Amino acid sequence: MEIYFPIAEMSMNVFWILLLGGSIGFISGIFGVGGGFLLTPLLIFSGVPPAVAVATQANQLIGASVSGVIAHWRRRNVDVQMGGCLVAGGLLGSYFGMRLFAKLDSHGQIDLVIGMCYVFLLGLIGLFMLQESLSKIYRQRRGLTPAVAARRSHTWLQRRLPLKVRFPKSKLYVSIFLPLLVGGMVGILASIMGIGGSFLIIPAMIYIIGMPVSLVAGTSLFQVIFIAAMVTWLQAIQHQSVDFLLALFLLAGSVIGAQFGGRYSHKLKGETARIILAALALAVSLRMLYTLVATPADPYSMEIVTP
Amino acid sequence: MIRVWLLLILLLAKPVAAQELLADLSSHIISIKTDFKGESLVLFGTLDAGLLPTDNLVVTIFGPEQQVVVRRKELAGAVWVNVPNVRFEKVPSFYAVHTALPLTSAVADTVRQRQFIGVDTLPLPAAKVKYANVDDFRQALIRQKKQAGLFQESFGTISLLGRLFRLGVSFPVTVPTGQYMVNVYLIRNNDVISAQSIPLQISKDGIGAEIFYVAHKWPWLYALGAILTAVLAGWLAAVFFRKV
Repeated sequence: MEIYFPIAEMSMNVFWILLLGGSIGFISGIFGVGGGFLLTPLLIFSGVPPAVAVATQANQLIGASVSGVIAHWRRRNVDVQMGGCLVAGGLLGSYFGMRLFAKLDSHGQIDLVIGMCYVFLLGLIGLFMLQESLSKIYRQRRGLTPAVAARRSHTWLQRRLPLKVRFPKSKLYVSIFLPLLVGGMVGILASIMGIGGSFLIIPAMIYIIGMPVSLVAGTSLFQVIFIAAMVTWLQAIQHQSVDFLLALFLLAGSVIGAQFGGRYSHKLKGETARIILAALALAVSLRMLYTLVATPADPYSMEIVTP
Repeated sequence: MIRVWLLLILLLAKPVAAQELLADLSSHIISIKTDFKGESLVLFGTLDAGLLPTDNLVVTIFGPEQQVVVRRKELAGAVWVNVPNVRFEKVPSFYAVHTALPLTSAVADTVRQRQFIGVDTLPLPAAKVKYANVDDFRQALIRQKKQAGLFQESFGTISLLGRLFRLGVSFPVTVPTGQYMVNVYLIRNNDVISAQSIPLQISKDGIGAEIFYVAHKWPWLYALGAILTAVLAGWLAAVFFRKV
């Protein structure tokens, strides 16, 4: 059944959209990441204009994150204070990210920058996760004791930055600039790449801020709600590129998929899940690399600048 | 009294001369609803004397004008980068040309240029000409528009039956909205001897039109609605699946 989406200005099969949303929801249910890094490229491959894809997935992400955060909230896995600081940084970061996006877009270089961000960030994080999981599995096979994560050892950033604040929930005493900075950096990248940024913020929360792993998923979902709302708001006001109808269909698929993913995740070992996620990240990264370096079928591209 | 007679003669005489050609569309409105998959219309009409050997019948369709930027990727080191770009102003968002006989029959180049018969006659002026090879960009624009079905050329496709003629016109699903103009020309010995223009309105309709309208007219309201609906949908899903 084909439906015409009024902002994307194209017809797409409803079942394909539901399936797309469902798979992304399933993945986010298993791995606890938003899945924007998969959804945005997939929407673009389906023919949705990139600007609409980025804005619409932000709208979809609000709903997916709300339904995800409620589950974590019940298990008291959300650090609201830390989340609030990340949001404050993130709102500022995504505002500047959007300005940068507009600037790059007017120079015709946005494709290149988005592609580069995907290749490097997803590639690095994917490799890092893969290496970590594989070495853990290797140690377990050898019967060695797993290396104790030196989580509480303070990094240079944690020691040097001023204005330290207590975060009782996370049992941390760190500079307020740390979450602000992390939130800001992720905000910039997320708004350019058209993702929620949980993929980037989760490692940053663990390794840079030093948060307990149990709080990371819930807190990142909490902050993503606000960042996604901000991106939706700005995109809708400045570019009218949010396709509300498309977002609703994606959301319908993703909340159902997320439930199945959540149930299935118990059957999957933590290490196996991380290896699959790392492989997904590397696959997207390589796909993006290919489009950057392969000779284009048609070197020319056209863009309508006035409707 | 004489004045009235003159006026009457004038009024009567004018349509008689123009009645060489009479055409209409099967519909003057295309509504893009949520189940829109593209649309086909029929253009039909009569020629007073049929199509003579020295004649040709030509139909052109113009969509509203738009500005288009054409970019070219070039290899910079290892990656392909958009380097030069050319901005074209006044590009018809949709253009189609159909003829009853092969293009060259009875249609001289001067007539083609004047009435924009054929994609190659579209002026497509470039806004800033920094590069010598603007024509490459123009050709790329035409090629991509043709691939998208937004520039159509077909010669000898108008079917004739005595004094009647008919033509199927198709608009792809990506057809831009706005005011269209369908022009029908009867050309005899390199001269347009009769012409008619038929307006065609293509617009969004139904829920899709409402969404588009609100998004552009009241963006803040639309943004607020989109955010709140997503929050509500997420919350409902969480509540619902907890019960299940």
